[in-house]
Amino acid sequence: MMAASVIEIAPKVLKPEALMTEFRRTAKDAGAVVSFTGIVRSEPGDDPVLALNLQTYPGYTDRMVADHVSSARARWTVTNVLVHHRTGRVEAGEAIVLVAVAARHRQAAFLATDYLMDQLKSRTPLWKQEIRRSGTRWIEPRGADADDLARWDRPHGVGSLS
Amino acid sequence: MANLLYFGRVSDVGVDGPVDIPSGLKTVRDLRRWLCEGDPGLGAVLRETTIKAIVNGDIAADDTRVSNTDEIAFFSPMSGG
Repeated sequence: MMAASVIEIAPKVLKPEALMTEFRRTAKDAGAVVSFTGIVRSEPGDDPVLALNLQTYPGYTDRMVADHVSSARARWTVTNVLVHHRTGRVEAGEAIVLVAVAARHRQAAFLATDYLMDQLKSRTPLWKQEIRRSGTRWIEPRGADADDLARWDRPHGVGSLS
Repeated sequence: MANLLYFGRVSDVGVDGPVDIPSGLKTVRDLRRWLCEGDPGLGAVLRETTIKAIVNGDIAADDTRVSNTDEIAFFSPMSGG
């Protein structure tokens, strides 16, 4: 079985359906394919979110995402991994991130996908700004994000298959 | 000259670019204090405890050494995904 990781941190528009078709084509021996797509919420109301802006640390952001994928591979037996994260301006309703994992069995695929999303949210050099008509503000992690991250550090918690 | 970069909320008040770090400054803590003294607008954000540093691509602590050949980034909490 060939193990391949595709990582793309770039401004170009993310097309999850096309990427997943290609991903499934390359993940031939997988019994399980799990994916997560993150979409910019508009939060309709008097002052909806028009777009997000993603700032990156060129070079370093890519390296950290590669490290997270390596960590996921060290913890779970998975074959193909795909991480696409948009940078720059992303309009409300557009996909901002796609994570996909193929494995022989579903538990590893689910856990690795969940783990990678938590690392992308809080431990990756990306900084999100919310753009509304009223102005722009930097998004900082919520308490729930810290709890999500902590799950992976517990020795015999959700990260373990034993 | 060291290369200084600012990300997140700090990028609103700091300008990326080369900085000549005075020879007496040895650590991230020293550099931070010096930057705050030199620029009150930058200092107002930089002095917050949630602002961290990366030195040459590695997460740094307050006592991490810095020098004029380093790339040093100051950043507010990461938020991606």
